[in-house]
Amino acid sequence: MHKRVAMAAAVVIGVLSTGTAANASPQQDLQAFRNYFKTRFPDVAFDDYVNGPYALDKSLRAQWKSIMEFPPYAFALDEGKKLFHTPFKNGKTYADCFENGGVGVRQNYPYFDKKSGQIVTLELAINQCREKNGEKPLQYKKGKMAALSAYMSYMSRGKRFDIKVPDDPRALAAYRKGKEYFYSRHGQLGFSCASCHVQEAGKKVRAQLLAPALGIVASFPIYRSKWGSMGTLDRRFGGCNRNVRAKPFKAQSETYRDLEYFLTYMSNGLPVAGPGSRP
Amino acid sequence: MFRSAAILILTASLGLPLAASAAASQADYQTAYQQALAVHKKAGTLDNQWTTTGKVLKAAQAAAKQGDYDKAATLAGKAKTLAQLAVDQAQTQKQTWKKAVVR
Repeated sequence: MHKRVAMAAAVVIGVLSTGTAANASPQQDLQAFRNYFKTRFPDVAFDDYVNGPYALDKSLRAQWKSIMEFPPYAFALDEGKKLFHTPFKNGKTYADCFENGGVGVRQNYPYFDKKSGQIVTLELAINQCREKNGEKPLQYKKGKMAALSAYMSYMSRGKRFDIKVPDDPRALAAYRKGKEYFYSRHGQLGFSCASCHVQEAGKKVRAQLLAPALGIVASFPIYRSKWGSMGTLDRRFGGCNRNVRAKPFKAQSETYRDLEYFLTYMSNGLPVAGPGSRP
Repeated sequence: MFRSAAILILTASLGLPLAASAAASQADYQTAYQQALAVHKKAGTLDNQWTTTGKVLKAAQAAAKQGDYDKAATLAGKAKTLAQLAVDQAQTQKQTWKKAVVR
């Protein structure tokens, strides 16, 4: 009899804890996320998570350090700097659209915009700035957009991510949608973002070492050797989707922006390290 | 003699419908394709289309263009199965994602 009661209680507790984790507050999620990786990789310093796979593998780290003597994103930084300071046709520049002239602001993106009820990423804000000043929007995945984003990230290096989920049901809904997408399995191969970057973080998929989800967004945009060019998070999200045979969403779709909101919130407290370099 | 004739009649009566079902017509293909497309679109409304389904649908179209409706209908049927699996996955994940949350 006692055994049955204990079993029933265990089931109830299990159901309740599942529900609790799914409905946990952003602060509770953040604490649980940090604790998980601290337990999983006790020798990795908190700030080192921004370096992704290089935080976990000595050999990869040594190669990366050699590569960084001449960072492969250097050309993008030069291009981004030039673009950032080149006036639009109306004489204004990107600096006019951003707080503090766009310097040291990366750590606050993405943010919840009360007016539109949407999540605004840095790349979306760049295009909003262009359109406000009568310019055509840039494509989101690479090229000029990646260069501008790289320069703005570089100008914010070391600032600690400070993403907020304000007391607004729409903000919490966006955060929760991002969280649900992160943990849901997709595609014919049935992988979630968490499958690779939480449960299997530190293991290999063929030759690729899977980076931990903690801090994974901090180095974006990145120069990826596989691409031979720069890419934004939109480009990477699309690639991840295709890898598991799920049809990617459009760049800056609500799904990707919500996912970025959740993931960047999970990186709160870590320093901006973009642009980065990855295999 | 009687026995042989009976076997012949039986074989013929079984074979006719089999032959009819083996060779898919253009109409068969179109029906199968539209059914597959409808399920694929449903997967889209659940934010979970599979790239594989899209590829198989294209292959079905290509086969139909070549006049190979047998192959086209078979591929359309395969696409429908894949699309249905994507729908099932999305519906299942509506609950099961919660079990994966770090706590």
